[in-house]
Amino acid sequence: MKTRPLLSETMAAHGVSRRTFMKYCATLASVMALPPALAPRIAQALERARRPSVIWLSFQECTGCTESITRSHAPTIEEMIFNTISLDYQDTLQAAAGHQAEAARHQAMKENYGKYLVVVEGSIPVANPAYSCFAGRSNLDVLKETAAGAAAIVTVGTCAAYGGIPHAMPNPTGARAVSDIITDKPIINVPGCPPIPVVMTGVLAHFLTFGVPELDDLGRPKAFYGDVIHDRCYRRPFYDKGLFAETFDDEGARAGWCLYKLGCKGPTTHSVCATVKWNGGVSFPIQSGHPCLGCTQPDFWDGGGFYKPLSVPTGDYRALAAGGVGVGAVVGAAGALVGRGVKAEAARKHETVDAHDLEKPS
Amino acid sequence: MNPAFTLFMWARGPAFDVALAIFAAGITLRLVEMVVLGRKTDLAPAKGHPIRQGLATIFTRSIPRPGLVRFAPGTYLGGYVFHLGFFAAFLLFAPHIALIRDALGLSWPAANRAIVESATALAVVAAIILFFSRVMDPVRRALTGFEDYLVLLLSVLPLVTGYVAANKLFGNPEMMLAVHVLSVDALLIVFPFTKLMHSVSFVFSRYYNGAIQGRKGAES
Repeated sequence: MKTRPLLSETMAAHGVSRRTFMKYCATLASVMALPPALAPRIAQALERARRPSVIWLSFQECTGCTESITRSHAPTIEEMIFNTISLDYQDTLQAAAGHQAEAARHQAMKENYGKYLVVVEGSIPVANPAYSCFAGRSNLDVLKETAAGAAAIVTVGTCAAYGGIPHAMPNPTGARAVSDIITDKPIINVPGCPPIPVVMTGVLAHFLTFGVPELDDLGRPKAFYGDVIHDRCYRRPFYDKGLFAETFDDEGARAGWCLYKLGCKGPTTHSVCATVKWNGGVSFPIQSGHPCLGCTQPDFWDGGGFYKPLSVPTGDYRALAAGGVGVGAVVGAAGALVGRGVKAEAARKHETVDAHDLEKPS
Repeated sequence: MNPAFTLFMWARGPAFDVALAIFAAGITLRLVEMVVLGRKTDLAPAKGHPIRQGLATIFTRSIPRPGLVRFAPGTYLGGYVFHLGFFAAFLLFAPHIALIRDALGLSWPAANRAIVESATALAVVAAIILFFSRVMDPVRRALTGFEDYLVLLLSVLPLVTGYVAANKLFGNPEMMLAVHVLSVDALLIVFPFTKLMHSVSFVFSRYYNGAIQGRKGAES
């Protein structure tokens, strides 16, 4: 760590040409919705960037985010970027274990205090910290300790960004997002279950080039989470034409029609899945015939069901409506019978009067 | 964490459940009341065909009388366009069909976006014309109360908010959907207790009107 090579040196060592690198920077600029003219600036910033120290904390998670990023159609420049950062602590990937691993984290924090980047994967159990500990310490303690000297925090995956699956009702561990606990550091949320690798490297490139990117009201970089999937989906024309798959094996499904009626959450989910796609641009869930689960959105697990269309109510509304009909019938009949009784009583009490009665002295 | 999502889930969850229960209870209450109260038996022999004319009137009243369209074009045409537009937007839009399929098991093909959105826009324009026809005419203005304006507003809100949500005009799609569903929840709650009940009770009132005239041997 004392002699940190520049990215350009690492690339040269790995046989990556400058042309390839420039193409990558142009792609990043495009993905981040930046003008093409900024590509050289990204290249310059990345080339000059010394390996920033990154401490990767794994809390209540499934390691799917790490799997996603490490399997980013390697070998690519994305992988190079990850090779270029100084990943000083990542308990899934690092060889060290136990006290040695903790010592590596403390050393990285000490040497780069105020400058290192913290990447958090997984939510933090607050109600009962015993659900997730390492080295005998709770996730909450480790997060607070590590975040204290961080330049910024990047939350990778929906668990770290919004609580994710552990936060799903009834949330037995009291899972919380990083932003619920750390409030005095810049936090960049990169949600997804898992996030797309290029989004992660794009955020990192943006951080190295321009600093913290512009974020939306849920703390996500607008460059990657500005649009909803529905607006960029190649199946959108079918939605507009009123053509839908009704089941997973009907004619509509085979013809590739819109999956809205099968519960697609594309209309409310912000992500670049439909444009950047996965596995090197091969496909994304909707393209493979499955509705979007909405995994970049907070509480997507409690959205009423993955296969329930957005327009369908989530409660047991049929039973309540049936109860309403019963109550209405009883109250309506009772009201009408009371009305009839009042009418009959009035008729019974009605006294007929004739002209003779009127002439009687009162 | 995400207030828009929470509001959306509340609007399509507990709020919709309660609104639908009130809607179902209210409509049943009004219908049962109407049927149980009944009408006084007319012992006089009928001169015409009360039942046949009553049934026919349920449908014939949907056709305007000659000359009346020219007399009050805004009211007539506005009324037709609003009703047809409202029901086209409601019954031909795929997300609504998905809801009906979930509730009743019935399903039919959806219309394309151009038809649904044109119907929505036309219905909103018609509602504005109907509003002005009430405000501009002194007689109708005098006859219009708070309930009439409330009902008009609550009928238009689902159309406007639905258009906004479908086109994502103001940023957060979850918030727009939440507002749209809430506007429907409000409509469901007031429905049985206001003049909106005409969409169910028109069958009874038209039948009675037709049957009374039919009994007398008069036109209806």
